[in-house]
Amino acid sequence: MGRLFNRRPDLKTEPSLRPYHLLALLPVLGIFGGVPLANRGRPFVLGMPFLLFWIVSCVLLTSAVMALIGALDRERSAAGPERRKPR
Amino acid sequence: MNPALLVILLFLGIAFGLGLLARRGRTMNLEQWSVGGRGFGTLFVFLLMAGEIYTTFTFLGGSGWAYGKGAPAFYILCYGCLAYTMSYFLLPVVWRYGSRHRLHSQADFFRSKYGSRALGVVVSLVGVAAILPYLVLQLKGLGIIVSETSYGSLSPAVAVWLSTAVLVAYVIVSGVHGSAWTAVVKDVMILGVAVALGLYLPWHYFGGLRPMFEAIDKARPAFLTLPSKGMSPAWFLSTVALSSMGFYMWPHGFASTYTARSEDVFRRNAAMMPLYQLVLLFVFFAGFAAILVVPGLKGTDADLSLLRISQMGFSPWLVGVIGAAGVLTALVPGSMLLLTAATLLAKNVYGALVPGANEKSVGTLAKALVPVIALAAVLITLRGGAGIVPLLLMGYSMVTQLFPALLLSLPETPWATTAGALAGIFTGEAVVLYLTFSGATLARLFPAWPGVITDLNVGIVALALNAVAVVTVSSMTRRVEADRRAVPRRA
Repeated sequence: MGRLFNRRPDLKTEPSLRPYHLLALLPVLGIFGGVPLANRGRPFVLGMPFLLFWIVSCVLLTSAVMALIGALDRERSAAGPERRKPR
Repeated sequence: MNPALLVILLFLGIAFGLGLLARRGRTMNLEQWSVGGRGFGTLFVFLLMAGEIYTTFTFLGGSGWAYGKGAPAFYILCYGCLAYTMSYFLLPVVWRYGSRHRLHSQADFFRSKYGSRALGVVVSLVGVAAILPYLVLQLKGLGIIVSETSYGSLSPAVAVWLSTAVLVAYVIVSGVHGSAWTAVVKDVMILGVAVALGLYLPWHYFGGLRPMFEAIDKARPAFLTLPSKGMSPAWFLSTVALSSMGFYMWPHGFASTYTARSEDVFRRNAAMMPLYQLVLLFVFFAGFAAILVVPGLKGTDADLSLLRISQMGFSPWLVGVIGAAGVLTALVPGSMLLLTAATLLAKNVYGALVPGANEKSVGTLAKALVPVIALAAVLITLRGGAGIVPLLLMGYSMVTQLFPALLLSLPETPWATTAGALAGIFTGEAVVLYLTFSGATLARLFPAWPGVITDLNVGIVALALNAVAVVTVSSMTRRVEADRRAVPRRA
């Protein structure tokens, strides 16, 4: 039993999953759900055929979402695991 | 000597100098040599991992696919995104475990997590078998790039020998520090060359992106969308899924995780890598421009489209710069591949089989293996015919088979057992070998099934059987494994 509860104290961030981590599924949905629907040449957006534009948007969305999740995680670990405000 | 060749040799010289200088102020033990003393910050880890994206395969192959296949080429943009999303959650776990146990290689991870040296040996051999064709492909691409951009004044064979000599020297002297330093030059070059070509060519020949795509659409209807058969959305998405699972299973990519100074490096990279990946968009634009400007390149010659369209419109000096960028896209991944194969063989095969091996003798052996592996790769490059791309694809499928065993090892005590991991890996590899050499596709195996299924990438079959094997065998052997693991813990 001791091993189960004795998390190593020297590792301050062993972040557990949080609801906002689910945001990471957005780009996955954009690709797996979106590509079959976006599989068309027109309209052209920013000079690109629609399918390519859609995929580029998914790439940009990935970056934005991962930056947001990263910022939230950093804020949380800066606050420290104990001093997190109870909700 | 023509100006293009002069520029290429100049940059080869710069890479050589930087690669050697990278050693300065460090004692090159195994820890420094293979994982940079675990001291790299965001930028170096970023560049090492970006080396994975911008290889000669993407430089020539990315434009070649856009030129020859059209919209299916876009899958290259998609799988990276999924892989980076996954990296945010996966790599910190790998890094934390790796630094706590001072691991140097991917096989170390499996060996240590499962507590099985045999598994470590198997994973190393799979890794080396996959790395060799990858290395050969880099050298082959390098030979093509140099001979094309030097207007034939340097033969592919001479180019391959010369660059391999440079590669071997700086890998032995500086290890992964050499890769990281040369990666800086490489990424500045490739960024400049790709963006310049991708913007200049459409505007110069067509007056903009939209006119270019409209002209392509007119000349080749439906070229800019996925077809309803063959490379259909089902093919596209299954290939994206497979490639993203295999992405971090390449031993050199996996091992570069250990070079990071902290796990925060990966969190920052997960946001930066997708943006950086958009450089591939410009490589596509160059390939698309070539469709109407240099038509008629068939089959594997499509890979020459980027070089041919450059030769048409630019002075030899500029072509030389493009050639130099191409050479660097081969050198940086090449150095990582060499280093990783040598570490795997020395540490996880020799070190595991010879009881008296210590870190010092393993380090010496790893450096001694570098020229041996390089020589083997050069000989295969110079003799091998066109059969190398199928071998690379096989390598990719082979490393992907490590994914289930890795995923199920991530809990503090691995969910899968050693027997389960071995069963999964062997099943997966056997199916991959069978599929590669029989040339089977789902459409050929099950002609009556609907296209949504038969268009799926056949690699899915290997991965699914692999997963079934891991789960089944692990559930049967869990009790035995728990007893075995309990013994050393008590001691």
